[in-house]
Amino acid sequence: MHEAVASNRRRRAGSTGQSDPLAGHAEPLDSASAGSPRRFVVTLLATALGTIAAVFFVNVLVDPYGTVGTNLLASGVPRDPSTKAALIKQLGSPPQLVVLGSSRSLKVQPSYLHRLTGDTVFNAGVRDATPVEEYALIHFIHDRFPGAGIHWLWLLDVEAFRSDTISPELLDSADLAPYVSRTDRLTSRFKGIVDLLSWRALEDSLSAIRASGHSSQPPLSGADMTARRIQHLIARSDGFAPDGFYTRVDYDWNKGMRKYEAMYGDGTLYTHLHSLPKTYLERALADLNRWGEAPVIVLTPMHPELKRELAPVGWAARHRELVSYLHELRARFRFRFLDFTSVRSFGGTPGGFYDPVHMREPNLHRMLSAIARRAGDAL
Amino acid sequence: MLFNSYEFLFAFLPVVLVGWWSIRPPPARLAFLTASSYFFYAWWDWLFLPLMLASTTVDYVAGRALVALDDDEPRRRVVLVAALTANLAMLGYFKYAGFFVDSLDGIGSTLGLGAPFPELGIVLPIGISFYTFNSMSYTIDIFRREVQPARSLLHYAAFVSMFPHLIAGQTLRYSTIDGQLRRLTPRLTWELAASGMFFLSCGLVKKLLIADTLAPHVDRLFARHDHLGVVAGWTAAVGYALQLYFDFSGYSDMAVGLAFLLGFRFPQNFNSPYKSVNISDFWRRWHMSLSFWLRDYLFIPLGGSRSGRWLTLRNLVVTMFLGGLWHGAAWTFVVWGLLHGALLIGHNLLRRAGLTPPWTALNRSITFACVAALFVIFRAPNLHGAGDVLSAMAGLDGLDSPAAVQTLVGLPLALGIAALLAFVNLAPNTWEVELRPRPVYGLALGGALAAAVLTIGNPSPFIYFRF
Repeated sequence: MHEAVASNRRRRAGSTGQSDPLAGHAEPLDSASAGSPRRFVVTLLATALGTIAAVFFVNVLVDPYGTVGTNLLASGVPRDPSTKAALIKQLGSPPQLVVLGSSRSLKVQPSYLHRLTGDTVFNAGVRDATPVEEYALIHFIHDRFPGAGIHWLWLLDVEAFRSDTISPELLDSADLAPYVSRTDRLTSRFKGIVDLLSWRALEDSLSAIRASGHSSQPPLSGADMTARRIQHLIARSDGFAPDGFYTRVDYDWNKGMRKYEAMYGDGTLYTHLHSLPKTYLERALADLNRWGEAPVIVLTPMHPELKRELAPVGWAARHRELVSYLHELRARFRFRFLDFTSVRSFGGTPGGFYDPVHMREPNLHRMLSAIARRAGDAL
Repeated sequence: MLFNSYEFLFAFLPVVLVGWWSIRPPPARLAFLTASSYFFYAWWDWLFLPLMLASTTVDYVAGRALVALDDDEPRRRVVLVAALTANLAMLGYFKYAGFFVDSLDGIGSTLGLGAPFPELGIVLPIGISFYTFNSMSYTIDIFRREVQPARSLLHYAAFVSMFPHLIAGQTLRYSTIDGQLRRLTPRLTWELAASGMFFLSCGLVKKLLIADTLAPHVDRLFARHDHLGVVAGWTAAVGYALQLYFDFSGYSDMAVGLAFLLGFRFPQNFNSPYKSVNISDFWRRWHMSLSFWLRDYLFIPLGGSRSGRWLTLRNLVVTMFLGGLWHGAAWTFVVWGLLHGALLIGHNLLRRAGLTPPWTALNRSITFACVAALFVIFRAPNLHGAGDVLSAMAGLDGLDSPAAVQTLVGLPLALGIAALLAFVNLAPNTWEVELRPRPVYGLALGGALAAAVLTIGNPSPFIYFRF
């Protein structure tokens, strides 16, 4: 066998032009080559690690996302969970209907819903919300107003299941964070710290430094929700009215398109519904049902043009997966489910959008009217 | 676990390097490397680890059986066929069963029968195409008596699972690694470390600073495949050709660098493919380890180019068809492979007729244009999307309006692509760079490495991971 192998190797090497099995393999540097490999390696590693450490140090110091809690500068990230928790604390009586959702829900007018349902309404939507934020908000509101028999309108995005990380905004909310399990908080906190190892975080740090030069506001990140801090949040309230309605109009079509294109990429980024948001959705439904409450869950729409772009790179598959998952959950939990991902499903128009996902008032009103019609006594 | 992730660069790699160079007895070192590689693989999904163990065991046992049956040719053939069947069955089930059923459903729908088969929803185990081909080449080489069987199961398991090439690296043959596994490098020299850091840094820079920067632009263009004019169509095609090259050659460089850091030497996988002067030349420079695998285990056994002109052409088409299918279970890959086969035939015929142009620059341009155009089919989500981009490139959808060029392409992307085109045409590749280990180069490369690592944030997988 050995002789045969050697002979065959020689024959094949002759036919393929490769005489050495390692031909075409990288050769390490010749020890006689000009220069010093040792100094080369040491300089390379020192430069790389030194630069990375310097960037990390600046980001930890500035703490642009409020991840570490250094509190030297105001965080550049809107603190919607803290703000909404502060607004909820200011409510004198329990709302009869609470709106949950992401930025897509922020322009839902409690006054309009009141006209539709007769209920007093609070908008508890927070930007980039996932079921984790909703779970914490549901519990926070329930603990403030136990046994109030609240109706819940939960506007859910297909994108709410794209990550297993809890946002620093939620982790930074002393009122809401304790509702999330300690392990999940620690894991997300660690991921948040790792995120500071990036140019993007450095850019945000520099923005925070620049912004701090123009602002006299004290930093709002930190653990303690003191009375003074609540007053600051209310005064500053990031554009929210006392009923939780978002008063500003700061949407940008191109920015929105880029955000969602980057979220799905070429179909390799958002490949499945993540488990953490699913877990918190199920926990929230279980607790609501236990309290005798059954929410109305509505899948939110996006502009048809964005939907057309994202459908082949994962949106259509995730939408199918989510709808199927919610149908499965209906066997275990009580809730109403409406799929309004298509603007036509509730009589909306493509023109009724500020940007690819945020709807203008007429479209929102059409959607809310359709929900009120179809949800029956659930609202 | 991705090479371009913090957990790999700052946790897994340092721990493995310290362990590997600290342990002295060779069997213990190999056991440590194999265990580390299994951990690396299981980080993605441990449920598929038994599959790799099964593949490893099948081919190891087959190799031993082939040696034991040295004088019994019929039974050796039975062993070979059994081992290849096991490998191909595994690959066929996990990679192609869904495609086959979907295609049958498609035919059923066309005939008005609906979709008679349920969706299988089989998850593709990462790297299965690579390690199956590595394993098959081992058994075939032993059958051909071109390689000795592995000294032990541990040696063979270390070869199959070695993490630098496991997921999407070179399709290694056992003959190239056998001697290195038998005589492990005893200590990490500064020369090895310098070479390893050089290749690893170049690979990270290629992947993170170039391929990942191009990716969102290319994704945006392909997502709007039905809105492209000739300029945006070509930008999409050329942009993707560059993204794919820097992505995959970046991975290959990283694999070579990691191998150096462990004291191994891996073969070259890319040799400036966009400098190719014809399509045959391209396949000698692009994903060389796969090209050579297909040549030695498919094209030559089919008869190669020694059985007459028409059989040669048939063999080319069959090889490229299967090469296309290897990349993925989709009609886009089948068509991509077949069209490459057609290009190889066209070049073969033109060359025999003496009709190939004598100008290198023209040949390079034609070859690159063809390759970039066919990569559109490779990249597109389906043939319809590919058709849209190709028709835009052909000018069938007209010239883009200045506003569309501004929105979809933009000056920075156009300048970036032009610079990268100049780079891939003029600059030496990683293997051609004569590394002078001076501190000033260490400083420059260290800065580039830091720039790359600090973009990791949300790491994107390598394109070839999905194959």
